[in-house]
Amino acid sequence: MKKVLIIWLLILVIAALTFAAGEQEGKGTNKMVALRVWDRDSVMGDVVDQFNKKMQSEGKNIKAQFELIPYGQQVPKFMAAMAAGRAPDIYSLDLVQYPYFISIGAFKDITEEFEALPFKDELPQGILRLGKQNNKVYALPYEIDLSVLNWSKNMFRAAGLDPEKPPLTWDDLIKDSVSLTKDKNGDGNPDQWGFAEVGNNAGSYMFWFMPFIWGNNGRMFDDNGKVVFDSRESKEALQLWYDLIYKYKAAPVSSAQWSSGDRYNAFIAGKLGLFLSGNFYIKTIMKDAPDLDFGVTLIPHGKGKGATFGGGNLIGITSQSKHPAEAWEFIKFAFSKDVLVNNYAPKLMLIPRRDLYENKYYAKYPQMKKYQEILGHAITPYTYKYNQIYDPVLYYLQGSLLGKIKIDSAIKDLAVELKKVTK
Amino acid sequence: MTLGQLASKNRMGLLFMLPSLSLLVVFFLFPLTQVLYMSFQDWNVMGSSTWEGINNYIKALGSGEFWLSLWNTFIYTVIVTPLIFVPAILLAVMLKKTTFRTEVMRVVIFIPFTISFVSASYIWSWIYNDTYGILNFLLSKIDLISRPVNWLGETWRARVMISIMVAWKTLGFSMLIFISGLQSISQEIYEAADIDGASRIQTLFLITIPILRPTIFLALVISIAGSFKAFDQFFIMTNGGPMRTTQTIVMYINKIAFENYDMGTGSAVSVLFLILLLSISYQQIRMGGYTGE
Repeated sequence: MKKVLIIWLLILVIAALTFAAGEQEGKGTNKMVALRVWDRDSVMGDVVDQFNKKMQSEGKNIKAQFELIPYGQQVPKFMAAMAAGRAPDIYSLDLVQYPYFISIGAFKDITEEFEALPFKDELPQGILRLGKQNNKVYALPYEIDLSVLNWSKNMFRAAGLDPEKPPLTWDDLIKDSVSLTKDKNGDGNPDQWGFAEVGNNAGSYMFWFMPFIWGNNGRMFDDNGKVVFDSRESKEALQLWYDLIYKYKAAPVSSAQWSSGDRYNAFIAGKLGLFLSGNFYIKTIMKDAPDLDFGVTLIPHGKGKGATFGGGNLIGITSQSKHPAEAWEFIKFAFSKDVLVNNYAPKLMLIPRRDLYENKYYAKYPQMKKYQEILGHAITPYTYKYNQIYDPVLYYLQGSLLGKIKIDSAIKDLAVELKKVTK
Repeated sequence: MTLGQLASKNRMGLLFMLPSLSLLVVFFLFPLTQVLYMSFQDWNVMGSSTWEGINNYIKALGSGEFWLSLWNTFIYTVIVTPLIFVPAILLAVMLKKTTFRTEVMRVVIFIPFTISFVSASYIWSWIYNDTYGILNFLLSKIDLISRPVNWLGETWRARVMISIMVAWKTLGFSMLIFISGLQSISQEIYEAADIDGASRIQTLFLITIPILRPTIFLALVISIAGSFKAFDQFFIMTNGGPMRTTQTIVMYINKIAFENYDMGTGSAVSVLFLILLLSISYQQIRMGGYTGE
């Protein structure tokens, strides 16, 4: 009995001494500043390593620590950390989450620092808008995701279509989708499809369906945040998607439930000709299907202009950071030419500074040139309640594409739900 | 044993339990009390929260989506439980004797249990895919279907197909529990039944299953609690669709707490769900004859 007690006491004493020693090291030297950096992309880990080397070489006592946050955990982990007073110093978070978190005071005002940046006008303004509130800047675009259409030139050739002419308008989209849909083995069922819809995820509808509405001069919210979704333009866009399944039979009905991975697999397997895609797939397509010759184009438009959803991450300094000056030093480093071009460009990830798109890595791929053009078209809906709109968006849009809700009702009822959640 | 000896023995036991008790307090009791506290609050991430009384509970119980999610979860549990248990018991009976062949079979059947639900869900999503999935391909090759079937497209079909995936993944674990239960049954009972002329079916239903009852109920408690907590498979394979008809109660909690940032109501639903699970598990334990032990 006594022995067990003594062992436990020893364990407790050792643990307490170790903890105290750690605390003492931090307080005693009073020099080393530890920055915690969160991001959903592992490339940030390399940036952190390079920053630490630079700080060491300059004799500065700043050390950054990187923590990879899985996409689905971005919000729960951040909320839990803030509630515990343990938010990271720097967070590169999905940009659609920023309006809400800025509104509750989770990020620091960096307007002065932003104004002093020599490349501030090179950042995509449509995306930067998400990091602003009341004319103040709280976060900057860092990792960019754009929604686009990929077309398989191999399948275009096989279908007798011009492989250099992607569909630009809705009429082109219908025509090409029908031409690409084939029943190769004659069993009465298509083996390859022209088009596939975005399936079972509300984020996917926002990322790929909203550009159809924008490209038809429609919108979800006006400049004042008022819901203007119940419009002819929205109905026409949804009708187009519905017709591609049921009228033109150029998209499988099941694609209304596919995940993005399903669409991706169908595209690289040569079973899908037109793939609603994003820059994040470009490297993996080249790796998984090296013989697939594909192009990148804007999402086809109706009576408006081609549009793209500007997604990705903004980077900001949290209001709980005790080292904002050092955190800004890190952010400046992360935006430097060397870091962006040498870390992100080789992986064909889209960098936020348009002045750096002429680099040796992008130059090898014509697709990247297209992304540079498309970046200027990027739009992102601005709402404090972005997460809350997910559920009704999925319910009504998917329900209508599965034939369970009429198009008119889906748009009308979705607009009512959007008004409810954003009021 | 004197009172002093008993007290000393208990202190000793308590000391040995200390590590697991500490973990239980830190990772279960403390979060549980926090959730309970938050369920009575309009909880803010930043700044102070306000006392809401039972408003979050009223809101939760008044929500149609809460009841729909609960119903979806209940239906799923009803479908998946026999899909796991019937084959698990049969396999356990077939593989209870330890030979090289049965050991290999047990390992093969247990392997799916070692992979995560996330991986299994993705694998089976691809198997079920109507355009490039292998299931439709095989069924059309043997002329069982004339056109591709959208396996996850309709509510009931999706529930059944996801349950099949879950049964494939988890029945190995239930089978092992049953095998350990079967191996603890004395061989003499079977010999006696054999002398009395009992058939194999009679032996299974009149001897094996009644003796195995506590083991079956233990496995049922684990399985039903697991089924009620279903999340990953539905989140990945249907994301609750079509039209929320495969949305489980845990998906609903996740949605209101972490998507809608309504932590108060999310906590209230979690507490209601915990009470429900405790009640079900208690009833099962009573039926399994554990309460007297």
